[in-house]
Amino acid sequence: MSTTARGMVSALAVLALALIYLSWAYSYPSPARDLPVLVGWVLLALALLDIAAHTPSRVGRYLRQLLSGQALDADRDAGAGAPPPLRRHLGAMAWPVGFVGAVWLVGFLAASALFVFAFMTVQGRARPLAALLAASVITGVIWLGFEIGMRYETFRGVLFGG
Amino acid sequence: MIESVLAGLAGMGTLAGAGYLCLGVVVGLVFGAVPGLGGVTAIALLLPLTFGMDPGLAIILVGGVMGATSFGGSIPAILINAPGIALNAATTFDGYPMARQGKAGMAIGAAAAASTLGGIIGIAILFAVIPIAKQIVLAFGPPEFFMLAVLGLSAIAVSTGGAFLRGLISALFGLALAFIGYDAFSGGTRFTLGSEYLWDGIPLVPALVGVFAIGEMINLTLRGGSVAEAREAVRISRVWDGIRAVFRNYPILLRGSAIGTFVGALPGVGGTVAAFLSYSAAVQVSKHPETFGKGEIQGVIAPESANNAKDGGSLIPTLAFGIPGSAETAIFLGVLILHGMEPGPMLLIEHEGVMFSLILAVMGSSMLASLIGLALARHLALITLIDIHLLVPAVISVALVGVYAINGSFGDVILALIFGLIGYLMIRFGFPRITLVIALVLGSLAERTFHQSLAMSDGNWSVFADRPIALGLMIVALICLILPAARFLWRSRAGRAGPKSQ
Repeated sequence: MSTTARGMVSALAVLALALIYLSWAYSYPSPARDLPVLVGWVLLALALLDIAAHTPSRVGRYLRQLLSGQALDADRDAGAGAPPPLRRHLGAMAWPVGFVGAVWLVGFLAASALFVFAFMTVQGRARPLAALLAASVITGVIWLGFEIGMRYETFRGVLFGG
Repeated sequence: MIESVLAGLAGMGTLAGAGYLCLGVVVGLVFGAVPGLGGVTAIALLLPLTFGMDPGLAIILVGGVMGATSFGGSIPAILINAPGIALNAATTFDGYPMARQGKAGMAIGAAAAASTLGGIIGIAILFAVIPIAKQIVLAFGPPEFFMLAVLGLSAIAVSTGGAFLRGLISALFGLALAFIGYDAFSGGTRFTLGSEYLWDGIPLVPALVGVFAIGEMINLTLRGGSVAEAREAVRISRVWDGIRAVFRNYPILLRGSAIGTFVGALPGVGGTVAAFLSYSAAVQVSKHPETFGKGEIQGVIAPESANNAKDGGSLIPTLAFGIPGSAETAIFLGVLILHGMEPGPMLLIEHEGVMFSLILAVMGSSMLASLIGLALARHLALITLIDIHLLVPAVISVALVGVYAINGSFGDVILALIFGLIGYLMIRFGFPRITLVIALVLGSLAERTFHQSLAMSDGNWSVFADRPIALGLMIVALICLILPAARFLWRSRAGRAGPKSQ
């Protein structure tokens, strides 16, 4: 996706969020809704401006430069390499999500060890022995720092009574 | 004030105080030296870990980190042309060419001395401003504080370089998040989705850790590899020549420090702008501007003095008004909240001793960082060879354990994860995170003072224009908002005038 297209997608997402937020804010009585409604309207206006600034037209180009002084996104695209595919972005985001899921199940200590090992071997293609050593060290540091040093019991996970 | 300064010094003089200062310095140097981490991630990571600590010691630890990251970042900037943090980018212009000429030691020595002296000058200016700042704080009422919050958000958005519009959008998003939870004026809850967890609003610490630490680690996951591509052993020599050069070029040092302090005091502008301004000022006044960019030592002294002086400058709005002057000070406010100190205009008055501990810690840190940094320069450079695939899971694991440790609530961990995903998406789509965070911090102040102002004036909005200070702040905020457009129009006119004159 080019920078301009990425900008348009994100601007549309902001517009959608602004509409949802504004309608939600109106569901509250005054004075609770006063400032949220004001923020919602300004957000909506800025989202529309952002959309206009990302249209491939003279108006869009003028708005982009007026609001940011930046060169055309297309000019920046020419020098940039191809952005990573969507699955790589999703993959990168999936790691911390998976880690938190593992924490919920088996607790921090076990999940940290699993996370470090899996990340190094799968994402980093490290040798299993090196990954195992790193996982042990990092889990050891967490255990020593929190459970021994701070005398704090970390979350044990729902499977182990957490 | 003298008693508070002495109390701050006494706090640092204990074994524990000195120990935490040294720890903060080492953490700051390491995090500053690894590109992609930086002081913001360091403080975000340490934040939950300070939970059980004495507040004074926690602040000394954070001050140690704040004063050390700038110099830590200058080492890879000089050795391998990879600035540790954004504000060291200007140091690469002449620092790396010097390293390629075999003068790495001289460059590092100059960076160390300039960082130390710049940091001390910035703190000295802060000390001079504080007594006046207290008087100013007492002259401010709710309308003034509301306008100050608006000015803070406007200035931050403008400072995000070419992302002005997106900076504003991020700021508004942050304000929207700040409204979640119980509303004292209506007696009800807002935007909580029926969740009791959100009744007290978005907890700041998990949000900060998520946006900065987790978001950054997801971004590094995509990049892969290690920071430095090849193992380069650089002889570190002639360090003292570099230190002496700083004293010989004292006008550049003083100018850079002044620029750093002033720019640092503008909320959200930060050290990057200060460093570049200082560098370009040095080029413009030099009798031999053609030497810059080719290994001119003045090109190292100028940005390094500015990016450390900005620490003192950024503390001015933070301590006087509770408006963070930088991302680090925004997270620092999270440390205060964690330890029961309410950020805001009364901070300097009610917790003066603790604040002076911070100020002295930042000053002490910039001195200690140079000493320790010089001793560890080559080892710090090797840190850039650590594989990201070890760094990322380690940082995420420690960060989330720390977040959990605050309240023993798994909800905090989930919130940090959500904000981590939001932070990553913001990086990907070009929305500045700093404005979101600062708006999250300022949101409750802005809403409270907004309602108080309208209550004072029986609902009349002219209260913001009738009071001179509030009106002045409003005008400055409006100028900030139209600045990008004005700059573009001026540049367009200058561009059209150029060819015609030929």
